[in-house]
Amino acid sequence: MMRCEDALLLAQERLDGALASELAAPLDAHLGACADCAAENSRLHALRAAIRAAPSVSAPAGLHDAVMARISASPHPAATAAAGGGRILRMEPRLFAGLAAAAVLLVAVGVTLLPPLGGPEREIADLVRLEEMRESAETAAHDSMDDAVSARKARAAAAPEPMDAKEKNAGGGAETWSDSLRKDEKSDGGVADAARQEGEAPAGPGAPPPPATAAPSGAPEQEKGTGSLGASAPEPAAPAAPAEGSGVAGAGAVGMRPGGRSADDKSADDKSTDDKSGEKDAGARDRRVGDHETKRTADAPTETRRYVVFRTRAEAESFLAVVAAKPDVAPPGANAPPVERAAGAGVADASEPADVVAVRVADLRIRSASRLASVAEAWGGILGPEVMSAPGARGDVDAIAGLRAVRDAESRRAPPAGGAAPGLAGGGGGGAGGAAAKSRAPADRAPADRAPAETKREDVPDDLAETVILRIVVAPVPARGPAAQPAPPAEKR
Amino acid sequence: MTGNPRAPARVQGATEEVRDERALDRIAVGRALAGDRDAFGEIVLRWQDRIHALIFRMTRDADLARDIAQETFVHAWTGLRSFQGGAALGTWLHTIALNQVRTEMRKRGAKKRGDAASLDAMAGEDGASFDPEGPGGDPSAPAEERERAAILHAEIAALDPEFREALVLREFQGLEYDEIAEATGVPVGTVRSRLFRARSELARRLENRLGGMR
Repeated sequence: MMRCEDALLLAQERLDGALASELAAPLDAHLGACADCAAENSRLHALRAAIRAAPSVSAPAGLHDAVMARISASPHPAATAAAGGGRILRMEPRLFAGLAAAAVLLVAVGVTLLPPLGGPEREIADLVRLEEMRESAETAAHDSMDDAVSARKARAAAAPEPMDAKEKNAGGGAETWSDSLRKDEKSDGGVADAARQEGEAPAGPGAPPPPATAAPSGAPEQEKGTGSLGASAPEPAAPAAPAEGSGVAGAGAVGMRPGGRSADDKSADDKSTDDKSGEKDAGARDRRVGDHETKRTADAPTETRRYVVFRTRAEAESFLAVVAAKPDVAPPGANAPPVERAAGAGVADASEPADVVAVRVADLRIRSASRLASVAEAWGGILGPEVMSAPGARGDVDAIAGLRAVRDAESRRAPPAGGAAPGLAGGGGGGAGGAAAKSRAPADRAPADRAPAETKREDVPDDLAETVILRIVVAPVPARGPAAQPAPPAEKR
Repeated sequence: MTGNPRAPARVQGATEEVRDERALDRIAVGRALAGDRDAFGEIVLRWQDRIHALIFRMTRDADLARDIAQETFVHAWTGLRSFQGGAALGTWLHTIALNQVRTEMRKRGAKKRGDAASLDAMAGEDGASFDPEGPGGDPSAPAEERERAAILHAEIAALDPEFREALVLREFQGLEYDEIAEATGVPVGTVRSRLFRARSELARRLENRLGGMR
């Protein structure tokens, strides 16, 4: 016998034309036998009729003209892309070759000579450098890989060989820039791994990537799963510490599209591939949101890291102000000065004055769908729909919520005995004075969020077991001379 | 009184029309990305009624709806490059519009009473500030119908925002479950649940106000 709640949902589906044909007969049988459900079904149909009778709403006169006037005054989206990704491509070949060489040189110098940074500053520096590396790589790949290779060869000829082939094959030295780029093409973790392996034992060619659960050597506390950030709330199953290298790889994927990846979400991998190809078409300069890494072990919840790379300090401050003003996202006391300077952040561009390098990191632990949605909306308000509408912008929420739904269903069948429900991890940001997080036990949830499972079994509880860490990195926009100029004539393309 | 003839194409079962519309959208997007602003103008013409109606039903404020609709299309234009084509353009526009509405409502709600994302902050609970005719509505409609429409919209506006979104997207905008899921960022199962609860709640409220739905 069909249950009433099932019957009503099916009645709704029939109302919406979504009922599977094989379910029609059982539904009718139930409605015929259950007066309450039959009455509710009639009520649904009556409501539909009332809604259908409502007056239509038309756009006001002049809306179209107003929109067209606005967009006529705004740059063409394709031009925007060109102004970003195509800026370097429009450089004079010689200038480009020079910059490419300078980029290689600075990356090499940065890798070898920069004073070691500790904690988050180190990671930020890596992020900034990685992004520049990726941009250089993409540019080189598109337009003038030969120039870049030549420049690198010139550098290599002038400098002592960092390692011999044997040593390299044995995994005994740092990877070169081009090695890391090639590796990046094969895996998300490539560039990041390479950049992070300064002074660490790198994986040689053919060696497996670092295990996903490996805690990074010397990683700051807040980098290690719940770490200190989660200190204010109990964690029944602490997330595994993300592999530092692969963690940044996402940012390096600098995929620049929002959305983390669920480890068991194959579609995310597919999407990642698509994103990469998409980047080449659209250019990378104006992409600002990178995703990050999702980690999942057999026993630990998923942890997703998102790296939002802002190009200007003002933009980041604006974003953080919005986030900080949201009581459901940022905890009290999260209004720390949003931007700090971290000396030594590497920038692979000769034209970039060192004194404009400013980086800031803020960690926000977001452990509920609504909070994540709030942050996503904040992104949308500041970064615009091009970010929010990108594939995966909401995918994470779905993926995480889906995982939670599965877990909820499982726990309903076999509720854990006596274990304290997971609290919300919280904690301050890292060494750069990051925003904090707050704790909220599930018991604090609104009653609506805890509707009886029978009537809301497909709904997803607001509180999620997964942790999403939003990492905000401010990176300067290197002045690249011709970059700011308008798009060249079509024949240049 | 039959509703927007263009909006509920799916509700009318005009599958072919929807297919054609999507094809037209894809072509227009391609042309727009190639530099043809007029192509985007076609998109605006095709979608302005629906997008504006969505915003109006969410905000119950004609001026605000106009402003947000304008912002929605401008944002769509600036972000057109990121439209992947995998989703329907209409769903994408609905997503942008909803985000705009949420942002605006949060701002206004916070200003009024510090209650974020409260659409009720926009108007009285009894719908006193709601214009029953709506922009483009029919002022010549019988007073009783207009009053019923006003009550209907007031009660819709009194629903929780999540339920209201689901209801408006389905009943007025004609989106399918999966499209609503995409536009609102929740799983399809959640859409079904919210929709059912929205309908049940709305029917109950209308019964109280109108003395019965049957």
